[in-house]
Amino acid sequence: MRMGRLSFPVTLALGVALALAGSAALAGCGGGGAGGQAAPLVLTTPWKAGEVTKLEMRALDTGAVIGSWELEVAARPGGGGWVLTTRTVSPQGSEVWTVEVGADLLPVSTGLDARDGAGREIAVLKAVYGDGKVVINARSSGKDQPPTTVKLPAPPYFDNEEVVAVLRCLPLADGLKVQLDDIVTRTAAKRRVQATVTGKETVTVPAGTFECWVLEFTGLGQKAWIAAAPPNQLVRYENTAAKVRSVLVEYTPGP
Amino acid sequence: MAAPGFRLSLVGSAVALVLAAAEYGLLILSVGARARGKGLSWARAGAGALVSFAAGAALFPAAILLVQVPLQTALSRIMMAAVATADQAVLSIPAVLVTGLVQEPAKLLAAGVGAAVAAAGRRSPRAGRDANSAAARALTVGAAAGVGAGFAEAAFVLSVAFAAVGGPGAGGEAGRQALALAVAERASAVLFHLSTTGIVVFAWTLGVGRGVGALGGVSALHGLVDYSTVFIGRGMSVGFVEAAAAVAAAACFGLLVGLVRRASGADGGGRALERAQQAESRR
Repeated sequence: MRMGRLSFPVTLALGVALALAGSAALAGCGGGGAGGQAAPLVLTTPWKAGEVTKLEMRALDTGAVIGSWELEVAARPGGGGWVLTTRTVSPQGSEVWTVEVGADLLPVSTGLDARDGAGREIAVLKAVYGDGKVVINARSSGKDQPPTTVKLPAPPYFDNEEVVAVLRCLPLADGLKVQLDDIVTRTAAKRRVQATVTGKETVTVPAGTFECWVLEFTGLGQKAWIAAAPPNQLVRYENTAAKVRSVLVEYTPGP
Repeated sequence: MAAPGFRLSLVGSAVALVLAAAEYGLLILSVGARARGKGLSWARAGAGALVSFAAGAALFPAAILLVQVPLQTALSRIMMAAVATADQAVLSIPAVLVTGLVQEPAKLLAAGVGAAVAAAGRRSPRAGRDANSAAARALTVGAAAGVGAGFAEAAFVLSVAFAAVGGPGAGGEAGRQALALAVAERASAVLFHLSTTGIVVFAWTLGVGRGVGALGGVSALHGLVDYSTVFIGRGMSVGFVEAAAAVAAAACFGLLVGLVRRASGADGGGRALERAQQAESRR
């Protein structure tokens, strides 16, 4: 191969410029996020206070039961919102997440109590949302961690531990594509996730047979099956990265 | 969730070594006997290449673990606390761009170790600062250090990929496709590492000013190539992004081969580069 008459620095500069232009073009294809969407996100809560959803967690490859996953909805003390509790239990330990949200589903506070199989504390976390930021205080292995702050994007944004509940509130329809700004208090991070309705499927689980919308999180390897009919239960959830499939075993509506 | 344990696998390391050897061999075949350079014995050139390869393979992971990851963690924390967006295309800019700023100097350092071995016993300290030597060094120590770094990274990535499908031939059609994509992605990454370090060493041999300029240029390009992965799933497929990275790697490879051939060939390019180098040294 023979190079042209361009000098080395010029060739390199041209290459960098081309790469820059390519990246700019790629960025242009990225689209807006939840905050930048043309249509505002319309959320309708399908539950009543007192609702309990119980799922069984199974290994994706063998189907063996590896734990339980329970979701509870309670009215927020003082009214005007909800307390969403997520409890996962396995022989290795348990995690209880409690997310307090307003009527608009914006998070107010989040708490975690994680314990090992013997009931000993692994980590405790408390995150408080307000003034455009969330301040996270945590204790891990008995040691207090320095407080961490995450600046919040423009609303709507959601705590990671309420995202599954938020999926049930979406105006589910064929081809629906939404971007959710997800605040991950566990790692003091935030990310924009895209959920797309990829179709409808009839799914049979221990709790019965449901016609479901299938939602896929782009790039996360996670899928949710949400009942098409109210109260839009979470029927199945798959996390291919964690190799876990959760299926609905019992649903108790609120009184 | 805790990260699963990890160790290098024999299969992943072996495939990485084959990739590295094949691409370094392709470079040598592309430039022929120009690889050695004037006044440099084959034994010394070989020793320099081997030392550079080993230094690249050792220094590269160390630089990532000890410098890049802590730096990225700190930058990410700052972005999370200071910027009011959840868009990864914005949040990841500093952390991704820093990859080039850490990895390219680490490879240059590895090349420097190899250069010291290759130049040991040289009669004059100025004797190596000519276009012919620049071409030889770009190949014997620059590309070798880059391929060593690429090998270390590929051994890690491919060990994970092979573990994910349970070894070659397992994991079904989807697993085989994912593995093939991982090998193809690493092939282009090794080529990129090899080429950028060769280019920087070539420029550095002709003068520190040129070397710093080239280092800055390839560091920026490296960051941009890594940054493109942010757009996977946002209208860009994995295949498209990997194809773009492969084009960047091939362009760098072509540039390196062209520089070496021009500098050490009989077309007068070498003399032109020497004149440029002499002009710089007079300044």
